[in-house]
Amino acid sequence: MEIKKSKVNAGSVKRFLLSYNSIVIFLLLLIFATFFVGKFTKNYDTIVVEASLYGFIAIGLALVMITGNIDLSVGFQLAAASVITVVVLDSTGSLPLACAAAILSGALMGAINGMAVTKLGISPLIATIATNYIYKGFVYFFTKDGSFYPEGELRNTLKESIAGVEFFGSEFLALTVIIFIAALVILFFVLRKTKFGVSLYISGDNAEAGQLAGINISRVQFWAYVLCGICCGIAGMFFASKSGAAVYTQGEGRDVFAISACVIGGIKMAGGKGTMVNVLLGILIMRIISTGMNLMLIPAAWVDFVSGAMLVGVLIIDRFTTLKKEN
Amino acid sequence: MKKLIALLLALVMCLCLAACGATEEAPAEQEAEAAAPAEDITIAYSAIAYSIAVLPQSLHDNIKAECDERGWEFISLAAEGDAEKQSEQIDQLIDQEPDVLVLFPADPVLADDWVKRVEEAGIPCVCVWTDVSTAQSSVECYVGPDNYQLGYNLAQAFIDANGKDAGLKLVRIGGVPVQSDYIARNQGVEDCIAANSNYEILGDVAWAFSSRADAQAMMEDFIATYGDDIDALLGYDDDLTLGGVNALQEAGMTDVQVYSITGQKEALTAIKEGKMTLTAHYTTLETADIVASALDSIVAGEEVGDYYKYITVTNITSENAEGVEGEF
Amino acid sequence: MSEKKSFKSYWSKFMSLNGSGVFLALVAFIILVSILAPRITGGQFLTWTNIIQIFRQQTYIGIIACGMTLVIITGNIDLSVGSQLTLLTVLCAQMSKTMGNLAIPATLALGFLLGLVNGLFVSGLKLNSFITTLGTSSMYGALALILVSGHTVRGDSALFDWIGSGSLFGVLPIPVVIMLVVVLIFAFVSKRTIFGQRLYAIGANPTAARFSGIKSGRDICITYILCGLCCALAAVVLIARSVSANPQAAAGKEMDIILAVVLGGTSVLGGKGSIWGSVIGFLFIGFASSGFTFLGFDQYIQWIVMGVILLVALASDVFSERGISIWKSRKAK
Repeated sequence: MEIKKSKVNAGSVKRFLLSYNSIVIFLLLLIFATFFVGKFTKNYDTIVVEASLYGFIAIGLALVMITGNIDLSVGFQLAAASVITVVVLDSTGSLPLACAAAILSGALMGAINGMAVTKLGISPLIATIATNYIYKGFVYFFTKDGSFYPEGELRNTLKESIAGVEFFGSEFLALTVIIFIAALVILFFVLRKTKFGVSLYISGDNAEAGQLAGINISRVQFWAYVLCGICCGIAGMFFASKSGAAVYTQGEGRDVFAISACVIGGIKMAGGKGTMVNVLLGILIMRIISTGMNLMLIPAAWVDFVSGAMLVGVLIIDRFTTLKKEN
Repeated sequence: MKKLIALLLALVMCLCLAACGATEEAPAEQEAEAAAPAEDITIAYSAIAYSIAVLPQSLHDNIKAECDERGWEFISLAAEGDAEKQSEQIDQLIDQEPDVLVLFPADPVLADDWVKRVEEAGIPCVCVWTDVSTAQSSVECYVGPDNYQLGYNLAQAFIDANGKDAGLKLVRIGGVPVQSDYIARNQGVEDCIAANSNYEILGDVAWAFSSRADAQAMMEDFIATYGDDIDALLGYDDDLTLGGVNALQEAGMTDVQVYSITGQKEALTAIKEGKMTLTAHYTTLETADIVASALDSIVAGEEVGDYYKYITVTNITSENAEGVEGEF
Repeated sequence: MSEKKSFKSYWSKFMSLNGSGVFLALVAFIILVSILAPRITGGQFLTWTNIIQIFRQQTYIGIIACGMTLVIITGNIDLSVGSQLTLLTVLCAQMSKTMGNLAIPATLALGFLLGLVNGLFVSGLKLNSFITTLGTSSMYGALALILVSGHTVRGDSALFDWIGSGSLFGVLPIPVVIMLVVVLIFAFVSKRTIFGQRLYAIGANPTAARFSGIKSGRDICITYILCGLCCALAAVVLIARSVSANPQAAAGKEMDIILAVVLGGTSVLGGKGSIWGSVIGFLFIGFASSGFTFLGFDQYIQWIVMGVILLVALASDVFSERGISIWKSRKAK
């Protein structure tokens, strides 16, 4: 508890900016896009909605990264959950059941990842490459004849619910956005205020000390993967509803997006640092770039180039700010 | 706590910016629209692919050329294989308020929703190369091959050349497995073989995605597995079939018949050299031409005519290969 | 009594070699497929032609795996090899149309450059190699799409034809010969030169390496350059054979290469591994893919089975000191 109220002065603002340098990037991009990209302001709501769709796997991945691990299978966990949503909806006709199944399947896939890393002792990078193959095969089986969707009326039900629900007719208040913000807020407080949340940071920062202090590090890492899987399950549900179908390409390349969003937002690869604010900023930055470049009619390949350059750029900025801090 | 306050301040600043930006844009936009002459036609083109394969690129370039000829503005975005990305790009193209939107969709079922969105924006839509699944009423017309028929006719040509009771065995090479044109072609081949012959299909389709090297490797695996049982290779894309041809030539299996689709320069050469039996040849030039005529009608407010505007497909064999030009 | 003892000691010596577990799995798999394949599809798996073919199909993976092994031994990784391969095949094909056979050294020079960029970021600026190469991967892949669209057909050249389809003594395909030469060179460099020993030291304990005066920066940079050169060589071999290059063709291959290296016993934590282990690793992947075709597996089953096999093959002993050393080595970085 602070005895003196610290004043907001130039030094502390500068320090704040240096530690949340993604805010600067975010604001710069936002200002540039607002004034210099035609029709960008009409797309604010689209960006927010897309952030809620694409961002969920980034949230889950952030939890795993904070514990010091990585999960390359998030893309196909999403696609697999999307497939499960359609399968269950098609066979039972019940949307709540389909949603529950999607979330459960996400948890299961997260558990498999967690087991591979904590119980089988496989390095997270390799383990999640291997499980990615399994989830990819699963998705491919259902989508190899094209997009996979429920029959007739059920498809409309799927599309009009979840991703199709808006409150007061405003996209800013779409159901997916509300759920996304709720998840962000909940996880923000979990990370900050709960013992579990703190143990996630300890796992990434100094696992040995944590182990000695009595925290079951393996269990913490396992649950981080399960939570990540649940986030992917929710994301898969959203995507299934948005397109009214499970499509193979829902899984392609999403892992690179999630990692980029986390790192550009400020989550460190080594673990032990980062908050939900970082993830949110990273997701928004990526979506602004993507939408902005589309509006400028720039070919898709350039978006990839810019994302890759930003990743490296953020690392470089980070390197210099840590050097500055050390001085 | 300090950080949270600062973040909230930043968010509030953003919202103010947003409000300012919105109101600043609005009057500027209205002025611009009032000043724009009525003759300026903008054609928007949303494609699932541009750079990742040469055919989509050729299609894009030819359509653009037709638009340039007519003095129309041509704007385009390609999703390079990502269906979700195409969904977003369509939104952003709609924002540009084009006069017509030409769509080369990733998937027929997803395209149903996309064209409805385009229709709601009051923009006429033309589908090219891949048709919508059920939403034809929202689309002016479809220009391109009938992919299912393409596969069916390919298999039929194969059967006709050999007799339907010849009991031949064949293997297949395809491209991207989840792409609708390949799926349709494969379905056509399977249905035709099953209905009109006693032939046997060996193994699964070898999905080589976009790599000729992979196609060659998969063909080698087929040869290793099935050996002399293989009587024919049916390929759904010349670029990949040529990989299979390489494998066959190296294995000395020169009497295996090879049937393929597209009509690439290399394939035509292969036919003349006797390495390939037949290729179903079509051109993106003709496709672009038909699209342009449809666009002419739409822009002039006239009827477009038939919904299905299939492009010509010519089976090229060694007999008629002379003088035929491949586009790429 | 003593005979039993020596068998046990031989066995434990064998199992401690890099990739020995995977080698056994490979042998078991080959036997299984050889028995089952004739029953399912009628194909004969274990034939000389088929074995040579598997080698030839895997050459480009094998070549790059050598470079990747060195990078991973130092405790880093290069996720951009797939994109490097794509970019280099496309550029090589393009250049061969105007430069003819000079395209080969030009491609090698470009590979050197691409590797150098990675190396400077990771060693010079000390950036995290995973994220950095993820970033350069996107950039190189995007460059391939931006610079050259669609597919490119390489120019006619007798040299390329020979590289692609020629063979030594009429039996060994040239690509396989090239790969074997690369393997031999890298194996020698990694185990029998001081440079190689330094790489292991850097990977095992970077702090100790620094204190003993090893300039790890330069060595790490060299590993990335070597990796880039391997990608260039693999690109030349690839384009020699398949004639056409497509900007999407090699996307995702980096996973196969990393898996080959890791299956061979090289640890991603660094300090452990060998080139010969990686050879076993990529042979495993090659035989597995081919075997799946012989068993008539559909693509999705191939992926699922591959994932499961990988998990099983890589599951290390839970009670080993490896688990605890994971915490320790993370602290050391």
